[in-house]
Amino acid sequence: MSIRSLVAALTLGALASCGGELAAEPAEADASTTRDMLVIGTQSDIGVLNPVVQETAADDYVLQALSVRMTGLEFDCSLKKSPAYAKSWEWNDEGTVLKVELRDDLTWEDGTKVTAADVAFTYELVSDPVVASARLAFIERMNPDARPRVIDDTHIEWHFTNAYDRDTQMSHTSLPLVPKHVFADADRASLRGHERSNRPLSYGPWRLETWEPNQRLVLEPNEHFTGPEYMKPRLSRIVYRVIPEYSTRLIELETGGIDHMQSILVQDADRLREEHPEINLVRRGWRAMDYVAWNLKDPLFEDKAVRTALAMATDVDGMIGKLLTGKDGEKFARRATSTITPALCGVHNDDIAPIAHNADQAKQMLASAGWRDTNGDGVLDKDGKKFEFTLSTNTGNKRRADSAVLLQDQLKKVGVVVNIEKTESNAFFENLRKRDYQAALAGWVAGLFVDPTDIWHCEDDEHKYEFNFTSYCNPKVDELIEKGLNTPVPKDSAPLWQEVQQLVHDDQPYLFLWWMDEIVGISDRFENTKIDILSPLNDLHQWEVPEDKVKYRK
Amino acid sequence: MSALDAIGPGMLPVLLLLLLLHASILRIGLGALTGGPPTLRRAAALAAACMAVTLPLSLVGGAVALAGAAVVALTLCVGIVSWGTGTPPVSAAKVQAAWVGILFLLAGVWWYAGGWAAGVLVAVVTGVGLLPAPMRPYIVRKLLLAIPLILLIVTLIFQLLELSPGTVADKFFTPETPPEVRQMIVEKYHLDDPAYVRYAAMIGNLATFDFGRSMAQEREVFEIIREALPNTLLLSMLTLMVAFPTGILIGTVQAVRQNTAIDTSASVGSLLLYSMPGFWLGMMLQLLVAFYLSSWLSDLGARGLLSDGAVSLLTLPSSGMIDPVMHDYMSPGERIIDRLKHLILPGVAMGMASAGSTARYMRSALLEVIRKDYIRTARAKGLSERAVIIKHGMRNALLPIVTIFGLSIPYLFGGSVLIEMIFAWPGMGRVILAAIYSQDTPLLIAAFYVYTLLVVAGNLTADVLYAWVDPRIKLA
Repeated sequence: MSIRSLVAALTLGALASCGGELAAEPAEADASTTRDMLVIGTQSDIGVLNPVVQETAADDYVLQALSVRMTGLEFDCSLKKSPAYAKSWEWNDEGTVLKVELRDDLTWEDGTKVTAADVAFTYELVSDPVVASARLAFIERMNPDARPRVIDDTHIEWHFTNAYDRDTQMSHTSLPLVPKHVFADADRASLRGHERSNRPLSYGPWRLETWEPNQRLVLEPNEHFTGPEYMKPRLSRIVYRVIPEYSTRLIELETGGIDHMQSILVQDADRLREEHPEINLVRRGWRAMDYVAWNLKDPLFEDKAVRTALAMATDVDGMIGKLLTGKDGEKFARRATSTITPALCGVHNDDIAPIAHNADQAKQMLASAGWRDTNGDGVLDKDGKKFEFTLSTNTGNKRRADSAVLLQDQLKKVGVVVNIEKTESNAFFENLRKRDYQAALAGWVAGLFVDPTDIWHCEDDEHKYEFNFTSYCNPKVDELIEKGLNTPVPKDSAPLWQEVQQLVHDDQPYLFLWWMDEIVGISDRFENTKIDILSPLNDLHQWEVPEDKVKYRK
Repeated sequence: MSALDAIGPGMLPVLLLLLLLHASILRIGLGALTGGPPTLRRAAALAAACMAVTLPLSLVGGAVALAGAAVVALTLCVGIVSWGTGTPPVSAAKVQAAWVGILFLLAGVWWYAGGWAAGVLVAVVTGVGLLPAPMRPYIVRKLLLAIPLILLIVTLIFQLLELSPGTVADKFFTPETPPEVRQMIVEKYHLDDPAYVRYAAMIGNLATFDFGRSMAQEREVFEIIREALPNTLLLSMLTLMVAFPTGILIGTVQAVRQNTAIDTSASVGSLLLYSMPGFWLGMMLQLLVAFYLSSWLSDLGARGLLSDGAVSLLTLPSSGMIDPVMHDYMSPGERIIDRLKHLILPGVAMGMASAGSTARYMRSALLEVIRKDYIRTARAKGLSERAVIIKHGMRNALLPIVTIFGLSIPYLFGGSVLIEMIFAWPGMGRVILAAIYSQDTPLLIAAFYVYTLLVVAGNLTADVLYAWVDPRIKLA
């Protein structure tokens, strides 16, 4: 009984206290805290925040916020540059020397000045084999004693072994910097694990406030930023939330838990447009493509006519309509005719006509190549062998899985049997690398520079191009590629690249499918945003929210 | 400073202190027993004596827990039922009080059960001779057998990693990366060395508990595990804390009310929960909470029944461990409530299946026990039905539950990958998954090594507990 009365007494006591307030409601915000916060939903955590050994694009976006780029970048058919850390620059007439003048007013967070010595040191780390930097390709065509040569604190010179595309040269010389005074004595073999590779010193508009692994990353305005006024941030905080599952990210976007989300699927974009007008959907541009690679060493795909016929038998436009078109007919993909993105409008060959769908003509072409249905079982055969092959693709990608099924169905209509095989990503890429496949449904992310070497150049005993999955070899294409890579002025190299695209398309080593647009969702309270093909989070310092729409107050 | 802030930081140390007190009393008391041969009855008698000392504290804990529950229920029911009083009848303060009540409820359960268990564990570990004689060689034998088991498992993992395609150097496989870089990585991590060389090096490191550095992240493996493990532990402990008592309660009610409507519906319910895939349940809960619950709450807010503060306090978050934006600006008390809010959905998703299965075990165990002669004797002695069930029935029916609990211990540390993925919970499950995808051998081996040790410990605990609690069991 005593327990019961004790409980009763406590309950009454609790009820009685219900009238009072236990905590005050949040205080009124004062004028100085009316800058809003941006919450970004990302799929995976950052890898490492050291530009020398950085790996993923996500790391790059954060690094850009913590540094001042060599040049400001705009993309309009090609990269347009404006002064940033580099005040001015000029080439010599041959295009082999690039002289750059740097700003003198930037400092690291700890007060040390940013100088040309930091630039030289950054590239020294890149060139050191022990570091194993993925940026080694940047310095391949630089003179070892001038990459760069330091003239004084604000003047550097880059010497190249030969003149090549100037946009590419600029990009190769525009890595974000690492502080020399911090990394001078670092163990170069384990740079990724260095404390300052995960909590870097900033010299840009933002600084790294917190990094909770696998959870969140917080950026705050850098109070020690000494750069130009227009670069000072207009938001009070940026929070990256690591949310691995797509559906969870979408829920968070819809409920306002996050403000920014990449790679929204087309069917979800339709729904968001109807139900959530407060979320802006931005198309980033033709960033990624899908294709079917034919293994040219397989006897089935040796003949160009056969490959062309297979492309003709496929209704790629129909597939785009089913998989990548919105409810109102808005298309989020366009036919691909090469591995160069249509966004590079000067270089992309717009004159190449994609192969039109024509099942009858495809059957005729196959028949001319010797493939007929001699035994009436609905499957083409030749010399007693059926036209049957395995199409492999990687797991975890619904669009590719659906495309494979559609492809299988369409090719069945012309008498070709396709068996679909789905393999785990690591295993799939290993097979591609080893050329252990017949046909593979895969994709590329667009490069904003033209260098088709790795995908299309002939291989020989000396030079192996691991990404030439199809074992493609056309000496004319090689000649054009080499010429193009050594032509400094983009206007002059464009016709060369266009010819390369035409030749490759004629040869059909790929069944070119489509270039896809990436859909990014951003809360409409943000103004001055910059979401484009370069980055979904460009120039974060200029993003702002008007006073009356501020959601998060400190 | 508001009452909430006073409670927040003060509560945990107070509870820990009480736990320590409980454990030390038990220990001291048992130490005084070194004279004669220890028996279970003596230990139980001593434990009861200790409980008499700490009983008032236990009562307070239980009462606070009950009060907390009462506050929650009354606030929600009374607050929402009453209409139009001018100000919102349910203010942020009331909801905060409700959360504090839940916190006390959970803390009370944990403190009571945990204190008891910790006290016994401390006594056993400090070797006061609580264990009957035949158990000591049994435990030693089991521990010795564990060594070849661990070796076998580590070898198996090593073999599997050898056979799976790719290596950690594959991260560098992009069109822009020169092949020399990949070669450098291969040399750096001795990936070219023959398998037996790497195997021997690995065994040598594990023997000295040198987990090394993660290949993919180049950070100390120990550090990576140290960051992720507490998050998993937090979630798993909450899950166990909720699932087991719920399951036991439901199972008991079912057994006592066998073949009634309650029994049937609870059976169907627990079977449903048990069969439901945890990740699907998680996603459904997210949908329910994110859309239906929050629109219901904002509707109530629009009708003037809930203040804005109350709405935000009642809205359960769909993912994460803390509020990513505002957590840093919250007072300590608010932070604890924030963490509690984030634990609810993943904890329920993970716990429901366990609760379902525990209920079924409890039901069948209790049904079997109820038919025994000594239960009939107890009833014949004139004891109330409640005393019969709780004192005589449940104690014996809890034996299989004890075993299951011991076997759940490894689950505590492994984490559930799917739940962690869906709720963006930064725990061990995700670390292991990422390590598998990037072929990060040192991290994987270390994680599975630790995991195996814990499985062995868990199994051993289950065996020992079972044998200790049930004198009929003779350990071979």
